[in-house]
Parts: sequence; structure tokens; C-alpha cells
Amino acid sequence: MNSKLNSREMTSVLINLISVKMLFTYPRYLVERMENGAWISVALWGAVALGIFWLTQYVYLKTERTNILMQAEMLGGRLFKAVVGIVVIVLLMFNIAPMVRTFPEAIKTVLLQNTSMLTIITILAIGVAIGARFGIEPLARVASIFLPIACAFVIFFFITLIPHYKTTNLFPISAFKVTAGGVSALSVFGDIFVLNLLLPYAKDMKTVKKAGMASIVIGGLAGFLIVLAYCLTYLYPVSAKFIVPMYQLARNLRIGTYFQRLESIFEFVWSISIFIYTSVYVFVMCDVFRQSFNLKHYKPLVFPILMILLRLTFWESGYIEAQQSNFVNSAVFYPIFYILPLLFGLFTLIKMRRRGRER
Amino acid sequence: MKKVIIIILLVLLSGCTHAIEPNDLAYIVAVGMDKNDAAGAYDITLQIANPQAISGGSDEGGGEGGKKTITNLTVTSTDIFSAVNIANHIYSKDLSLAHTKLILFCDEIAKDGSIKNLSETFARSEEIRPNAFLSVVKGSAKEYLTSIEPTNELNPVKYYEVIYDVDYTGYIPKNQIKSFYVYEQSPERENVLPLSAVKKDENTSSDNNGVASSSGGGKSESGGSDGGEQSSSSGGGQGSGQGGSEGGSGQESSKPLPNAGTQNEYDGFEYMHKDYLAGEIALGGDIKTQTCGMAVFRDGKMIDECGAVEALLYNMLTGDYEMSEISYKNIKTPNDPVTVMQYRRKKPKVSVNIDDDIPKIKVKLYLEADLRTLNEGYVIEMDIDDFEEQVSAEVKAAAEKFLYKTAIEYRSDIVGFGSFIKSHFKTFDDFAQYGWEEKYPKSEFDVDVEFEVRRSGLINKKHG
Repeated sequence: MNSKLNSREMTSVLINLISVKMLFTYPRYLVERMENGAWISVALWGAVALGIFWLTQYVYLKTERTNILMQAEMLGGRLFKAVVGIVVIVLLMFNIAPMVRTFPEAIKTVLLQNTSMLTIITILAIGVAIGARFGIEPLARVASIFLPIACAFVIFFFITLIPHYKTTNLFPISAFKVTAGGVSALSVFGDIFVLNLLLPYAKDMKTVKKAGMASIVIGGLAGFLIVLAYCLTYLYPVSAKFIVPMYQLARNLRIGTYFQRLESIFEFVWSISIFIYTSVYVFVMCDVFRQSFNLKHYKPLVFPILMILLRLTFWESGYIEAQQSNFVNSAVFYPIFYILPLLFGLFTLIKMRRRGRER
Repeated sequence: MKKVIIIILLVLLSGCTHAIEPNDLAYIVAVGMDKNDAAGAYDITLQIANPQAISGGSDEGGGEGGKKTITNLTVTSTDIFSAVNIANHIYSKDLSLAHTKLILFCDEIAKDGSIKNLSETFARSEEIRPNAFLSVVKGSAKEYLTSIEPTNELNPVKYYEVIYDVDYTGYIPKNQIKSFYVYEQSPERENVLPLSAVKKDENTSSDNNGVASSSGGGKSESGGSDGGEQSSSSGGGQGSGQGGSEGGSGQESSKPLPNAGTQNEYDGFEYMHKDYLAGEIALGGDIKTQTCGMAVFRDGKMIDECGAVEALLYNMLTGDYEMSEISYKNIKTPNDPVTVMQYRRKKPKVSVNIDDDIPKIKVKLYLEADLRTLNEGYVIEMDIDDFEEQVSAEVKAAAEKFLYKTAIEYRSDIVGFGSFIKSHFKTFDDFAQYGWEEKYPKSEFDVDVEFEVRRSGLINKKHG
């Protein structure tokens, strides 16, 4: 609790959380719903997410840097805080389970065909456990070092893919699908909810505001570029078929005849980003549990929470069924990530004002 | 304790547990698929590179004329992966498809539609690269692969790249696994594949067929380029000697052409060149394998073969054309064609109007050229405007004739005009329901050509 994250570190963590989904299955799910107009939805609903975040932080400016758990205690006592904590942990688990599942499956498919899944998962679990035990500060620092590298790769990919772009692939664009029908694009930015849980680790509200805004803009821009590149390269309905769109794009990359198979660079970015992503989430879940039950340490919780997460992740033995859970996740849970902090913030504000009047 | 854990982790997480040494691998550089008599089975020829012979170079005993750089294995199996599995029991190394550059299908497979299912298999595979080339072989794919003798390249992968990824002839279309799969899944465009074959014997090569019979029909014979009249005789029995310039430019040569009467000649566009098909190029020497022309598909099935000239037109219309040496008939010197180095100045501009039941398709081609060869006594510099106008008309006529052929005879939008009408629809389902496949054969075409001679080589004459 002593360590406080500065704006850059906080922003790096959040950008990683927002954009890592884009490296995996998200572009495909967006295209499934919005066809090849999905890139517009990312931009449009990114602006909406920015608006919601601005509103939320405006409320939180007046609630004195309290996160949802502190507010729950203020509103309904310790028991209510514990209940809210458990609900938040469950939501977070369901949010990351598909990503945690996709990574070893994708690695097994494209990189380590001869390695058993158990080995891959064990390595992932060890890496995540170590990261989560180190805490948010080292994770944030690693994220801030890694972020410029990842950004450079995204820009490099976007530029080197230009010969594969065809503007006709972007059509047809359905106004309904990208606007009202594209509301699920908000799920891309749902991870901003973690910022609320990390409020006690932020230096001040100015840091929070800056980090939140910057992460939505930069993460949204990365997502926009990735989805746009995907839609420009692959026409619909084929674009709705590839499991890992970014990898599919990376396979097309080549610079002359000398530089080919550049997807290996992508695999590096993939691996580091998913380790940071999962470690941050496991840390946050442990920390939420610690705060909910007023525990002193979070480190002993890392192993059990990780085990529960992995059990949930591999609940479905087949990857095909597991993908369905991603559908449920992005279609159902993401509104809660926006509504919950706003509602708690508003109720806390009302209660604080009432108290002020009573005094 | 921490140090011990770190050391153990370093050893365990190094990723070497399942590593395969490059020396234990053998790379399949090309695969040929032929039809087998048994249902669902193929004779699959795997062409395996010999890295030691390639890296040794010809001076060190390897790669003598390329003969030792490749080994061919033929296995009967249901698909490529099963074939590789069987071959792994025969070959002393672990066979990998990671460097496969070419997948060939015999024309029998291409015609029965199995290629569509196979393209899905390739797209699903993480091992086969999306930029591997596909090609249809006239005859046997096995015969083609066993006849390959790379003369200038020790590395067979490089050899296939040079042959199939060529930017400076335009006589074959480029269609890799990625594109083939994508267009098979969408109604906006049909596929074409390069045509390969083993050279026929001298006795049989003079018997040109196929393209000749189909190139005579179409729009240009109706004498105009307005696109309004569609000849019902497309692909009919007329030889192409009456095509090109007669219909398109409205010009007639004052003298009979030197080789007049040969079926495959175009009078105007690509003057004096034969509309070659793979296996029929009259070449001397020992090279037996040829790649020229294209196989045309509709609904995943090969329906016809197009020759080199039509492949060139196809590339111009799709924008894949980069540059090539082209001979044009010149009215002023009808017996001496003008050869130019022609470039694509920019991508073609396409507009498709679907307001009526008959789609109206307009294409504008932007070409420029450098002079190469012409009659010594003729000062083309003084007639450059006439020549440009004449070439524009010839290309226009040839392109329109080709497009009407794709619409009326093939009923297959191989150029991909369907992709330009998608913006008229709200959703993909609306586009699919429009039924572009049924509408395309009714299309009217108007090709406009902007041709400009930019440079004259190292000579610029002002008088004869």
C-alpha cells in the first residue's frame, strides 16, 4: 500500500489491460457483430467510454479517492463490502478467463505444438504467480518499459501491412450495426474498471484522471488501428473466421525477401503482454479480497486465486466451447464495469452530502 | 533457496525440452496433388529440399544444376498432412510444410471442385504459409514436379518465388493461398490460378487449341467499344485473328500479317505474340516445365484456361500488373511492330453502376511506356500522339473483349468488380442476397485507357 503509481505507470498498466484483448480474439468478435465496420465502432464507442469515464471521475473527484470497496463499506458496512468484493472478484475472473484460456491454446497451436498443454499452463501460472506476488509497482514498471515497444510494433505492423490493404474490404458498412448494434465495442474499454480498484495505489486524483483518459485514448487508438488493419486486409465473412486476427495479419508481413515470418516479433509482444495482463488481474483480485475482508497481506492469496482462475479458465475442456464464454463475457459483463463504479460513486456522493447537511 | 529455484526455472523454462534441431528437419518446398482412382484419395507428390546440397553450392559438389537439391516422394493419401505422416515413415528426417512455397493441383482436381475444400485445409493450417503459391497443372502434378530442373537457382524455394511471384511479365496471375481462400468465401469475386504444364513434344505443340476458340468471340467483333451490344457469339468458333484491332480501334492493316492465319495471334494487342498456354510455349532447350496463362474458376470449379495475353489483360484490369515488354501493331509500319516497356502508372479506376438491372462497369487503365524497338526508318517521335491513341484503342478493345468473355462465356467475375458494389449495401447479407453472380453476366463494360509514351530510350529522333 505504501507504493504509489505515477501517471505513466498507471497509464501503462491500463493500456496493457485494454489493448491485450485486441491481440487475441477481440477483433474477430467485433467483426462478427459489426462486420467490417467494426473499426468505426471501436472509435465511436471509445468516445462514449471516454465520456462515461469523464463522468465517473467527476463524481469521484468529490468522493475523495475512495474505490468501490471503500464506498461499499461506507454505504452498507463491512458485510456489504465483503459481498461487493466477492462480486467484483467473480466479475474480474469471468472477464479475464477467456484471455487466459486463449493464450496457451494459441501458443500451443502456433508456437509450441510438441509441448503439452500442462507444461504451457504451468509455465504461465508460475510467471503470473511471480508477477502477482511482486505487486502492482513492479508490474507497472515493467508495463511502462514494455509499452513503448508494444506501441512501436503495432505501428510497424500497421505500416508494413499497407500493401495488403484494400479499401473495398471495409464495405458494406451498416450504420445500425456500428452504432446501436455496435454497443458491445464498449467491452473493449471495460478494463478501465480496474482503475477504480487501483485508486488507493494512485498518487492523487489528477493521476487517476490523466491515466484513465490517456489509457482509453491510446488503448482505443491501438484497438482502432488493429481492427482497421484487419478489416482492410480480410474481407467479410472471412474476417469473422480467424481465431487470432492479429496473428493472422502478422503472418502476411514481409519486407522484401529477406525479412519474412515477422510473426515471431508478434509472439514476443503477445507473451509479455499476457503475462503483465494476467499478473495485474491476479494481483487486483487478491487485493480486492484483502480489502474486502480487512486482511493484512495479499500474497498468501495469490496461489489459491490463481488456481481458481485456472480451474474456471479450463472449465470447458474444448477450446471451441471456451470461445463461447468469451461471447457471454463481452455481451453481458462489460456494462457492469461501467455502471458499478458510477452507481457506487453517486450513492456515496449522495450519502456524503446528506451527512454534510445533517452536520 | 531463491538461487536454486531460479536455476531450476532457468533450466525448465528454457524451451529446449521439445526443440527440434534444423538437421533433423526436412522441408517440403512443393506439393503436387493428382487424382487417384480410389474415392477421396490423391496421389500426393512431396518435393523435399536438400539443404546440404543447397548450402554446399555447385562448387562443393551439391546442387549440380539443381538436380541434387530436391527429392520427390509420391504417397497416396486423403490429404497433404496424412501424406506427410506416411512419408515420415519413409524419409529419414522430420518433414515440415513450414517452407512450402508451391501447391499444385492437376486439372482434374481443379475441375471437380475439390480444390475449394483443400483451400480451407490450407487456410486452417498454421504450418502452411498464407503466401504459398497455388497453381493448376495441365496433366499430372507429379510429372511437373519431377520435371523441374532449376537451372539458375540452387534453392528451390527461390526458384518458385522467381517463377510465380514475377512482376515483370504479367503472363500469370498472382493468387496465393490467402487470396484463394478469401475469394472462395465471398460472392464478390471468383478465383483464377496460374497454369503450369510440362512442355509438349514438338509434334503436338503446334496444335494450339483452347484459347484460340474462345478469344474470337465477345464484344470487339461487334465493332465498337460502347459496351452496349453483347455478342452472343462469344467464345464461338471464330479465330482470334479477327479480334483486337478490327473491333476495337477500327483500323485495318494494309498488308497481311507475316504469320496471319495462325489461330492464336492477336492482330492488335500483343501483336505477333502467341496467346501461349503453359506447355505450349515454343522454346528450345532443356527446360521442360512452363508456367503461363491462367485457370478460370467458377464456384470453386475450374471452367476454362486462358492464355498469356488474357492473363496479361486480367492483371491490367485487377491492378496486379506492374510492367512488361509488349509489342503493339503500328498502322504506319504494319509489318514492324513497336515494342515498348510498359508500366502501370497507377491502379485502375473502377466504377460499377447497379442502379439498373444491368450493371454498368467502367474501368480506366493508366499505362505508360518506354520505346524499345521499332522500324529503323520510321520516326515515331513525330507520330507519338497517333501511336498512343492507337494503342489505347487496341488495349481498350482487347480488355472489353476479355471482360465480355468473363461475363458471357464464363459467367464468373474473376476481376472482382463485385467488391466495388458492396458499398451500395447496408449489410453483407443484403449484398449476398443481391445475387451478384447472376447479375454479372448481364454487365456492360466500358474500358478507357490512358496510354502515354514517356521515354524513348537513349535515342530521340527528329527526322528519319
